[in-house]
Amino acid sequence: MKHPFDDFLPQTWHEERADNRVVRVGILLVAIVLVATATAFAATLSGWRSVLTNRETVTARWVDASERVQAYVKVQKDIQDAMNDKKTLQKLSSSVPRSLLLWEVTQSLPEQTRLDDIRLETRKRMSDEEETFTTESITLLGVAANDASISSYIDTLSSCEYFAKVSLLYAQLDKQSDQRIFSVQLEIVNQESLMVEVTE
Amino acid sequence: MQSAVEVALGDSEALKIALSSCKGNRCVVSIDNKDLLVQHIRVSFDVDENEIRKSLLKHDIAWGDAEIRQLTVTTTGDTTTPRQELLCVGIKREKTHEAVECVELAGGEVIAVTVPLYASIRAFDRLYRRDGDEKITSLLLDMDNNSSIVMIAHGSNCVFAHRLSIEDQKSDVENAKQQEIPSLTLLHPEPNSDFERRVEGDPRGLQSTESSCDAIEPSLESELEQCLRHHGALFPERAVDRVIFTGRCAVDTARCSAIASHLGIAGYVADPSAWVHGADEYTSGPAWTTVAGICIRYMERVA
Repeated sequence: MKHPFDDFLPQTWHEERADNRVVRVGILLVAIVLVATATAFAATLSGWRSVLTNRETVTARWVDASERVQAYVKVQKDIQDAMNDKKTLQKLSSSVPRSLLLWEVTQSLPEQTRLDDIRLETRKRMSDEEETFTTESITLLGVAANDASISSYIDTLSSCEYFAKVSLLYAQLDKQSDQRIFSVQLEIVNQESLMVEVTE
Repeated sequence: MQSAVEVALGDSEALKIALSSCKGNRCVVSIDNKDLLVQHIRVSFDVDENEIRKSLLKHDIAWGDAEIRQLTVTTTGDTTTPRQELLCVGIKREKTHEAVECVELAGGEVIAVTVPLYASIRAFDRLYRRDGDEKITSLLLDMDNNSSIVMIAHGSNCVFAHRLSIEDQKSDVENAKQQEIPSLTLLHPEPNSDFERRVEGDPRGLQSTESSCDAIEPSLESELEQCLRHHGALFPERAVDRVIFTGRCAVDTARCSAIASHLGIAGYVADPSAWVHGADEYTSGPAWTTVAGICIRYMERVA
């Protein structure tokens, strides 16, 4: 308990001082909060502006990247198409034209000989080096007057540069027409091999 | 105590320099004795503040604008009409504001305004720490350049106070000393040549005076005898055991001895700095009683 003579300042004076101190501290705190808020706002605004700037840059780069991706995809598609075309062309260029084959097969027929069927077979096989080899063969079914005509026909085909491995599969007598039914199989010479031979 | 600086009264610039030499700025102001209003009144128990002020106004109109604190000294009267004797101390609000403004202009923060009457008694708290010490009756005579005040305490409880109305108390020696005091004096830890340290056997903080046949001012003698009579009327069973001299003028030990001899009471010159750790290196003697009392009241570490 305070002595009565301890303090001669009225209690209202102390309360007023305390209130003033609270007000000063309050004003100081408000000022600090205001300054902090203003600083934070300025920092946020600056950051937001940089974000906007960066967003434009990012958008431009994004659009550029999209265009480049589209161009890349288009180029890839073109490359794929070109490769497919190349394969097709290679395929076509590696084989003898069918018209020539038909010409050779039909023009070398002996008299009183006809072909009933021409079968063209294409076989593909993979080597150990995963290289694809294509083999084309023709099987001819026909009717000839006699075995001499068949032999002559085989000789003619064997001499043709487009064919190889000409072999007679069978020849038998047709009892109804008294003619010989035959079947000949031959391989088509690869165009590349053919070109090598021509060069040599 | 870390430091002590003496500045001229009202010198705000010197006070500012003094405050800048301290760690903190919290201040306790002690109003000069000459600006105090001291009065004993007898009132009923259910009296309120306004009635006390009215009673005091009958003695002095200065009480009208004063901040008043009262202390119940004793009760009087019979059981049907009990009354209480109040020791009222007041300070004019104008003086309080002037002192507070002066300190605050110098950068200090005033936490309290007190009076030498209270600070002087607080300075001797350590004298009354044993059982039975409250039975010791002391008369404190605080002698300042401008005004003096008499206090009588039972132990550490003040039961009587009176401001002396003597104008010619200042000794020639003190007048000369006052003129020599510059506006700002840093007190060095040098022994005060005008003040003798206590003699072994005396209570710590008190130095006994020798008997003297020197004359004292008649008016002072009359006032002191009136004070003793007043105290005797209030407390007939208690006699004053000792008189303690404090204040700037108490360094005049010859005058203190003369007063004690005329009163017929054992006299002591105060050195309350003995209770404050480190104070004896900076401030010693009765002149620092009020400061030491305030220090003891507010300092956490005392000797």
